Amino acid sequence: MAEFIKQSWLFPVIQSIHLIGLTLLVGTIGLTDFRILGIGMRRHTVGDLASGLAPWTTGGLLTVFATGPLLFGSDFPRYLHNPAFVLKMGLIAAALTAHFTLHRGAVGANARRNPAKQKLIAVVSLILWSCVVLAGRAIADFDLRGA
Amino acid sequence: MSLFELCGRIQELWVSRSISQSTWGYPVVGALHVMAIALFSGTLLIPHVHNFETAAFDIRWIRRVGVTLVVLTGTLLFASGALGYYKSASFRIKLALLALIILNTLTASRQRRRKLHSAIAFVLWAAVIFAARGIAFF
Repeated sequence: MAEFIKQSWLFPVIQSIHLIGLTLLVGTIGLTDFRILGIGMRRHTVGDLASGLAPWTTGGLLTVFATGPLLFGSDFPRYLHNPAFVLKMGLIAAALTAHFTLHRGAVGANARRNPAKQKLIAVVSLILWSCVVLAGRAIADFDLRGA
Repeated sequence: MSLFELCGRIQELWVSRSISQSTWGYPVVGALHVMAIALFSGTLLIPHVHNFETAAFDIRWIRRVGVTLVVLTGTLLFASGALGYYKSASFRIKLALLALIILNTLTASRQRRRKLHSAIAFVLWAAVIFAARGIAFF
């Protein structure tokens, strides 16, 4: 199976689905962060926006988690030797931890009591997810295949 | 001047050469392109999300910033290897799909057939991502 994915048209197809999931995941989180920072969507509360977008965020998360391991599994020694991939895994761990702890609090009902903290969390979230995307893209630049 | 010759000239511009001939030019601009797509895709999704159909107006400024960043980085990537993109069937498909997306957005009225327009938008955006990935292959 791994060999088949690696050698066939299936690899770029799975990669494309991975990218679609990524845009849904990061796009919806990003929009919520922009709202926390007071940019756009001011007619809706942060909580309303986050809960309205939640199914899309979850859909994106499930998509990247379904496709990511398939891409990794198709040639895992190559990825393990790729510094951008290793960095991306660390960043995902940090971004997900922040998302399900700090960020969840920042979109909750009590968050408005401390807007400075809420905004700081939004900035951290934007930076972490941006770095995940940048590191993901950099995997191709640090790929040693053919070197 | 043919389109082919024009692409050749674009590729030889100072800005194009500074991207294509530097080690980090293409990877950095390419990474910014993908990052801008990911960060600002929510602004294109929002008019299709239940209860937020009318919110598109509220986010027009973020959307403009996002679209500008994506188009700017995309144009730079194209310029750095214009002849290669000119020859790529997948790149042509991607441009055609983007044109269809613009057409779909322009023809979407506020109330009528909204779900149809949303469905078309989702299919077209997904196809754009497939076509973008395909540029590396054909």
